[in-house]
Amino acid sequence: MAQPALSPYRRLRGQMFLVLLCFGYVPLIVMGAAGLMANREAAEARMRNVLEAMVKNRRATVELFLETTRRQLELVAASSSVEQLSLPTFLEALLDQMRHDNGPIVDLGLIGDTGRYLAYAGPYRVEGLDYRDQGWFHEVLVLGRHESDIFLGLRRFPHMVVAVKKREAGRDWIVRATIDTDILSGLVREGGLESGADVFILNRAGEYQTKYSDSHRLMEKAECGPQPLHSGVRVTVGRQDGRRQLIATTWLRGDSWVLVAIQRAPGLAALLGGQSAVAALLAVGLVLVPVLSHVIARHRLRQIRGLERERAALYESVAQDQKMAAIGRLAAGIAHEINNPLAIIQAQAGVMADMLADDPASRSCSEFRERIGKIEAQVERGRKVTHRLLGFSRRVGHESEPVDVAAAIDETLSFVEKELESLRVRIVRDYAADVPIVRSNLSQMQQVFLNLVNNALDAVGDGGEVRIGVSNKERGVAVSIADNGPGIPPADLARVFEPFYSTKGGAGRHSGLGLAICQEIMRSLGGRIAVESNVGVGTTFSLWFPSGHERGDEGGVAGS
Amino acid sequence: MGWSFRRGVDGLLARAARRRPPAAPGVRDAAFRLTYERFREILSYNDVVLGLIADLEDALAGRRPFSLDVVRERVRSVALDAFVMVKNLDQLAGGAESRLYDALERIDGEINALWAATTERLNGPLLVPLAALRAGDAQWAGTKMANLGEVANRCGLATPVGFVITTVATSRFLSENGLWERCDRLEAVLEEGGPSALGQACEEVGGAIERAVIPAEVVESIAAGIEMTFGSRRVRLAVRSSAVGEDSAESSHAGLYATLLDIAPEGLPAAWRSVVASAFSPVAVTYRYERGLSPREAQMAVGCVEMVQARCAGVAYSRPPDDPASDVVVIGATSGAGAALAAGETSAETLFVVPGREARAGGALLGDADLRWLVSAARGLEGHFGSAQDIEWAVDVSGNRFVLQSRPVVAFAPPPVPCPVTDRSPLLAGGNCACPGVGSGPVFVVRGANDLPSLPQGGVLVAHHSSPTFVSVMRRCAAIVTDVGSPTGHMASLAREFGVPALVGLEGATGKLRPGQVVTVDASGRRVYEGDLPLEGAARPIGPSDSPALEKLRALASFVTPLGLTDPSVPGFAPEECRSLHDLTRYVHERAYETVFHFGDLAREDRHHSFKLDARLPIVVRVFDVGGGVTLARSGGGRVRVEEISSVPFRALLDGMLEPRIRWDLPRPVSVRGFLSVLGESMAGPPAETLQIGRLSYAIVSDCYLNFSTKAGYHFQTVDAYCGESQNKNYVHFRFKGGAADEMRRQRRIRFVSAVLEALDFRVDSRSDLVHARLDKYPGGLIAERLVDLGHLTMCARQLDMLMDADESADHFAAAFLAGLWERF
Amino acid sequence: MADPRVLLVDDEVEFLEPMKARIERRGIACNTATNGEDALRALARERFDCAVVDVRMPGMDGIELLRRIRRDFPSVAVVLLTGHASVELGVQGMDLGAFEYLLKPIELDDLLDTVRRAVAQQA
Repeated sequence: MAQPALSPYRRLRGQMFLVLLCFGYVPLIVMGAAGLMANREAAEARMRNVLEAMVKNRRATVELFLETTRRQLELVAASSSVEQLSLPTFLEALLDQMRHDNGPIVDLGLIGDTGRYLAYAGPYRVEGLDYRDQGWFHEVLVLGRHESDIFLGLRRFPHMVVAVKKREAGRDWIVRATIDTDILSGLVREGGLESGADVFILNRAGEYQTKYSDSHRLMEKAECGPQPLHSGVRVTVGRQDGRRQLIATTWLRGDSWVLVAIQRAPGLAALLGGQSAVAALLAVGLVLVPVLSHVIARHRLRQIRGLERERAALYESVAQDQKMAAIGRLAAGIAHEINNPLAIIQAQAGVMADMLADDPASRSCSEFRERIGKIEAQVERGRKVTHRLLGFSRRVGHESEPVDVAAAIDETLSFVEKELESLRVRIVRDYAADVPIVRSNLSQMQQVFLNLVNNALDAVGDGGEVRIGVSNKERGVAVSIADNGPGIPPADLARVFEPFYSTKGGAGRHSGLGLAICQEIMRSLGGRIAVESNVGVGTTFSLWFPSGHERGDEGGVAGS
Repeated sequence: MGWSFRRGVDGLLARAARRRPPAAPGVRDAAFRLTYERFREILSYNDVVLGLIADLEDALAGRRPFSLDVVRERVRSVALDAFVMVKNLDQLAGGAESRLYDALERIDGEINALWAATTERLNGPLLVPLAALRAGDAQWAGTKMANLGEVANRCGLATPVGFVITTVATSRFLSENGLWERCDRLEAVLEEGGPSALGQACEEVGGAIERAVIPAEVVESIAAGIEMTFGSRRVRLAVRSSAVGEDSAESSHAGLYATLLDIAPEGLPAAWRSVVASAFSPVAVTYRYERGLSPREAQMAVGCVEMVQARCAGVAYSRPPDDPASDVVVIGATSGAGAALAAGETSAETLFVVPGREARAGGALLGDADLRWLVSAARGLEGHFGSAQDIEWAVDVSGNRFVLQSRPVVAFAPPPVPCPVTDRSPLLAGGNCACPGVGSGPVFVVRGANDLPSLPQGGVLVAHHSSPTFVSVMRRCAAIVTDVGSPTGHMASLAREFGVPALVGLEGATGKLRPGQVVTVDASGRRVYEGDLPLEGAARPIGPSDSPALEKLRALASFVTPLGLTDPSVPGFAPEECRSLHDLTRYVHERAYETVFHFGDLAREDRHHSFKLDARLPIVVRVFDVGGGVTLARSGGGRVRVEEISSVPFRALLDGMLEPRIRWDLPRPVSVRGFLSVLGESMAGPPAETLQIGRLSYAIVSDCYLNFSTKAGYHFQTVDAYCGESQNKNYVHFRFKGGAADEMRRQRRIRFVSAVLEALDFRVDSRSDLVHARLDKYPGGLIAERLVDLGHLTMCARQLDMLMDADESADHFAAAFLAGLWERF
Repeated sequence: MADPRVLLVDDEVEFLEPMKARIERRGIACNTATNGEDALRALARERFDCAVVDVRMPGMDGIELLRRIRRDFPSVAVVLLTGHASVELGVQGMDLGAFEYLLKPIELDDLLDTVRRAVAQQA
């Protein structure tokens, strides 16, 4: 019975905890998210500016580089005659000089209008190369100069070519140089990059013109694909691997190349890292909210339970008052009906005792005397009950004495011996050995036992079994009286302690007061009574009597 | 003190154990023992009575819920206690106090008369014709029909013809079918199971009544009544409840019981039974419960009158219910029969007619002649019955005018408060004021009776039409607003009876007022405002402040709690002056001490003498030895020194009282406020127990027993203790009561005393200004230690309340006391 | 002190008969009567020191009997012994001069104690 009483409270506590948690977390999360959004926007705006500036800067650098390279070549073409240029030594000296300036030029060659090298200085073997069918060759001849994308060309090696036309003596020559792509890549990435950023150049077809990273090679198609043409610097927002990134692009070199800078949006950690106060607040909140929720839920629950208990106690006391008043009214009406027969029983038993005393020789005399004593004891108990109900015998406190509970039960059982025999009910005693002597009111205690045993006997009927247990519990003695009768339905179980409530059907034998009185007695003895029952299995009444030995018992004065 | 003191006590205990009191001659010893027993019994019974008195006072002050049944039961058993006390005292006094029996009989008789059941009325006529009824017949005919008889037979106004089936018939019917018991139980069901359980139980009881067999004699009487009243005329009957007390000025029962219309004579027995059953409807049971009326007080008579074929009908108030002073007759009229109007289900034409100026009243339903008749009938009946009347009337198709009933206007609301003024614009305005006043709270819309139980405490009940079923929540709702309804309906009467501000016929209220919205209803000003406005007249006590149950409790308490006998030294301190059980027990208690005193005087040659205690104390203590309490060999009075006290408990107490660090002889540091408070209370009249036992303190002692009563300072206290070797018999009981200074200070001192006693392991029960502390079944040594503590407390609590200026001071002094800082007292 | 003579008045023979036996066994003369009239006749016939009277009896009740005894046999002490605890009866009884109002059932020794005291006071 007691067990399910707790779980609604547990559930309530759980619910309260969750609600409080929500109340704590929702604003925290909203605040945090709002903070993060604002933060990210600020960060992105900053990034946008940085990217734009960087892209412009790099474009200028790259264009300057290419311009410089071309002008160098033009200078060479203009300042030297074909004759000079045809001399390999002259050419090599020129190359040396240009490379000495850490120039980007890898080789230098003079190509005639036949498309073949007239002279060459550089690391490659160029004999037999014929550029007559190459597009750039004709471009140079027509436009006067050429700057290529990076291409494999006849050398099967990624490179870039800058070529200028030299006209002399009515014939066209071409001065051609190959440019070190590494230097170009270096230029683009020059000055280092912020983490999560990258800069590279693509051509119109979207192929890498600079080394983007180790995983990409020159001339491969870039993941971001060909970029649309536009003027100036454009910044777009894209996603890669689920992360936002800013992409800044600007076209250069006559719109043949596009400089691309990618900056990944900062991660949560980075954002938070940038706002340590917010982060700390969030962290503290995340930890504190559940703790506080738990504490508050527990506290409120304790309050609620306290209130509930108070209310229950109040209700119970009022209800109990009510019931005792009902009993009182009943008693006032019928007490004399009980008192008179009690008086007769007492007188009859007394006269028997007197007769026995006159004839001490009689056989089985002692047993008679014993049984008469029991009758008289019961009369005395009845007298106490009726007089108490009538409010006629209100003495200071009630008598208490040392009681051996097991012995008291056995004595009680002896009152119903006859019934036990005729009913063939089996009594199973399960008495623990270490049961202490309690200080209590024996006759009231026995009244409770008798009531419960009678109930059990009624419940089990012919051939049933009643188990009586006595054990040591919580500084007192627990007694259980269990029958294997039909049990009490749950609906009735709650009412068994009400006065005039009887499950036994109105045979007139039971007033329905028995358990109400038991409860009242247990209350006055400072004990407890509870009932548990399963239909078809049986009913168990559990009693607990306090030891009754108050503090200071072991000290003080020994009894005389 | 603990160690050496304990040894001292143990020594005393050992000596007490060795030295048995010398054997006295058998009879005298037995007589003495008996005296002692009786005396002790008086003391303990006295505690029981005082406990009840404190409980009753708590209940009256609303500090403790109560049930009349329980109170009745306790009073009954306490009267028995008082009887035993009286008997013991009379026996102690050798028959000299037998006048007390008369006093007790008188008080007991008064208490019983209060409860005397005016219930089953089994003898008398079963049926009485209306033509024979007068107002004085209400006990048989119920108030309504008795009044109607008065109207017909004494006032000369036309009423329909008919008869009443009396309460006797109802009682016989219910008794013969064994139904009373089931009806009785309804109240208990309501109390324990709440309204939902009540509904079911009422259904069952109602069903049982409907199925019950009507006694043959009742059936015969009805047949005879029809024959006698209507002859062979074919009539249709109106069958209406007429309960005893219904429609009286105190309680209206308005609309709680059934009225059945258009009943054929042969259907009358069944209709009668249905009306009887309506006395046990949930609404009716709830109403009686709320009003503190017992189920058996639902004495139902049933009126049967010929139906009036009404052209129009309605109600009339000889004065406006909300303004009894004004010279206006309020008339509610509706075409057809008037029942729907009274039930609040339709709106009526409401006319305010100034007598003599009927022609100006207008109205579509009534002609001037009708109005004049109504006004003169209303004022005539008011004059006849001596109070403003609430009249039901009808005009039939031939133009004949009838009075259908006349009853006092219930519970004129308190004089109309001036219309609260606020500059806020109201949410709603209009309707009719059914009960003036202002109430605010959250809106709770009631769509049907099932919604009522959920109405929150202090909620504003908003409903489409008014209904008498609202009675079940009138104690807890702040105001009532309805779309439809008339200020002359039943609910309006009930609202006035319960003092709930009510505004009816306020169109669109259910639509415009949202559930949960907090509104202020100004019924007097016929307005509803948003929010909780602090309008004048808003404070309406909600609670049982004026319930009949409380009135009954008060009446009962008037025979239990008041203490009139205060000063034993005046001639008025006599059994004849005992007006309450408190007086009686007070008298017995006081006389018991005196009797013991005289007993000692009479037995001058015995060892039972009183001595004057020779000790440095601010009080005079007389010591009665009832066996081994003093070591003096000499007989005769005189003085006894502390060292000569051999009563273990008394020695321990004295040890505490004589603690040298408690400087009672120094002027106390009285705070001015505290002093003025004490002075004020003293001038306002001495508190009840100030003069309890004159200036003397008494110690009744045996070797192991002490009963010490003292008036130290302004309070009265008793220490009752047994301190011997048998741990089981040992106890200390301490009672502390009264004191000058105002209530607040007294309470603080009670708090101080309670705190100290609790810290000393006592079980403390404090009620009102009575502290009762117990310590039972402890070893003798510990009991003695506690007695020392009580000795300290006795001296320290003297006039302590003068020091107690703040709530914290109680705790402050308690802490100081427990720390042994007695210099502070 | 001489052992007193007691008259027991109760409408229940079942009660009277064993009580008489028990009281007599303790050396106290005891007679019984089952109603008020018999009791008054017995009192007129012989001397009794004390009458133990039940309150509720058919015919003349205990209160009426008490009244008559006090009037006609003022030397006889009356102890009321009843199953009823009622302020009304108690007050009436004591007021009319009963020595004691006792509630059934009661230990025989307690009853006899009361009887002895009643007789002692009456003497």
